[in-house]
Amino acid sequence: MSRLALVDVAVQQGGRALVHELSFQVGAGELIGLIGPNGAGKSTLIKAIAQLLPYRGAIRLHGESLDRIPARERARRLAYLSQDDRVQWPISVADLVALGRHPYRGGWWRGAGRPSDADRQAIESAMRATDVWSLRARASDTLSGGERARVRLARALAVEAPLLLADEPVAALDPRHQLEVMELLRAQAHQGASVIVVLHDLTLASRFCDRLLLLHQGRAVASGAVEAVLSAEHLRLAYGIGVVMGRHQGQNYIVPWSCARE
Amino acid sequence: MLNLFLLLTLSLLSLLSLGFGEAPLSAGEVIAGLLGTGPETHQVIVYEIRLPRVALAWLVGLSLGASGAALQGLLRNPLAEPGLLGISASASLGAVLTLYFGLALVSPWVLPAAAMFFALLATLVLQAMTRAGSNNLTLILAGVALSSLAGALTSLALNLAPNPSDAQDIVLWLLGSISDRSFDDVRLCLPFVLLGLALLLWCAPSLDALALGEAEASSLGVDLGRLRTLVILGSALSVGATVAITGAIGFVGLVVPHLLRRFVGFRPGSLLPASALGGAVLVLAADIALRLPETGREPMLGVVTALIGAPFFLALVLRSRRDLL
Repeated sequence: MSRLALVDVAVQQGGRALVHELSFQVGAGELIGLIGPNGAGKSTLIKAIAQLLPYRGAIRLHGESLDRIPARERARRLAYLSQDDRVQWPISVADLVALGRHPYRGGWWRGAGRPSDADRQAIESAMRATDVWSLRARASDTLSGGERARVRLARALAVEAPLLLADEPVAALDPRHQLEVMELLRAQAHQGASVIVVLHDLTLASRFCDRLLLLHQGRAVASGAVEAVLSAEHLRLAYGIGVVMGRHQGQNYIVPWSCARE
Repeated sequence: MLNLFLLLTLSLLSLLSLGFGEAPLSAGEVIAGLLGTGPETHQVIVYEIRLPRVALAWLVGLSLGASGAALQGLLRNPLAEPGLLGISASASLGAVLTLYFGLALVSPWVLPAAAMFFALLATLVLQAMTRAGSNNLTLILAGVALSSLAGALTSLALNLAPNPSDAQDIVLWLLGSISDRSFDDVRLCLPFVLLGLALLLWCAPSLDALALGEAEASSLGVDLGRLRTLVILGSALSVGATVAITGAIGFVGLVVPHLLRRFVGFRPGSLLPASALGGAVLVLAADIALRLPETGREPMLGVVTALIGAPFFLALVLRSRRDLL
């Protein structure tokens, strides 16, 4: 049985259909790339999976409807990293990552809540995995874009959820940090997590993901094996671009080259 | 640590305030009076004259400090304070109306009851506005509209006041004071303040998570709708109840969270209890300060809190703009 199953999921907002009936499955240990042009419905779909938007259809995790699982319990099974990377207050990096343990926190009477050993372990290993342990005393508003992206990822990893949803986690990063974050997500999948990541970089999608879902105007243009999805024809249809493709060290790279003319 | 320090300061200021007045008492005499071991006159002075005043200072400060911190955390806006939502203004309007129609003379309960009723009314309006699946901006805008409306109606009452003494009563009440209050007043607002504070403190962990933004907080299991309801209700209960007794006391809810935020690592949740205690410290200190000059006539508490708070706040803004971002 697949870990995550989407059955005829549709999202509407203000009478406009943003995602049309869409079905998809994600297994354990899979890294799924969600690609498509701006406005294709990628973020909408990922928010629907994270139960942040109302939708029709069914989204099941381990066979259980996600919208029937109590919020707190659900928060332990599903970690969501949004596109918005602002942190409102200059809290320390350690405190920020610790927020990932919020779903495990005791009631208010425990006040600031002493973290349990499990909490401490999860926080430290998430910070070491993302290489932000040395930043733990820094205020979050003093971080560079790349540091902030890794810290926020550490926050999501600290949840230790079997399902990780990341909305454009590499959008603001330089090439090196992009590679680092993708390797991290890859490693998470290796350790058994199901990861869904929204990407714009087709080469990263091709190299790191197990399978892809290509969206265009709220519909799946193609889904499945990476090479089948990333065909020149699909990319022209969805993005309206011509691409240059090649192979290097046994892996495909894809460079957007021209705007396709009708 | 910080909370302990604030509590200690609060206790010392309380002793100071209890000993301070036309018949000065030493700390020992105050404690003896409190324990009921001192001379009867001391017991009367401490218990019946000065303790209500200190107790009200605590309640006002705790309410304003806690709800200021909670609202800034909820709205993720450093300018938020209880006055912003129009709760204080609405409570004031209720009180002013009883003064205007002369109802306040009927029974000492009429004015606070009317103020609380109007605070509750404002809360219901805010709650209705936010239940319709709207966001924080709607809440702020609704609050601004409510407080303008209440302010305008209050001005109208002043404007149309039939005789100058009514107008003066209204103005004096609007300035806010905790002098000449009795234990009846304390008893009247205490349950509402405690309930409100409990609701606000309950929100602390969720407010921490909200630093990540609404979407991620929600994905961490924070129920945003319920959080909003709890913060509005907690603020309305605690602030509405104290405004009903003391009149509007400004600036505490805005300035105290800012003063203390750096000392709790900027965590909105940890700021809540600290800010509550800090609010009580500021109100109590202001209440002592206003009795220092021997002018025969005390300045009003609301004026003094702003006089102390505003320069502090300005200095803070000038020194570091970081925590305002």
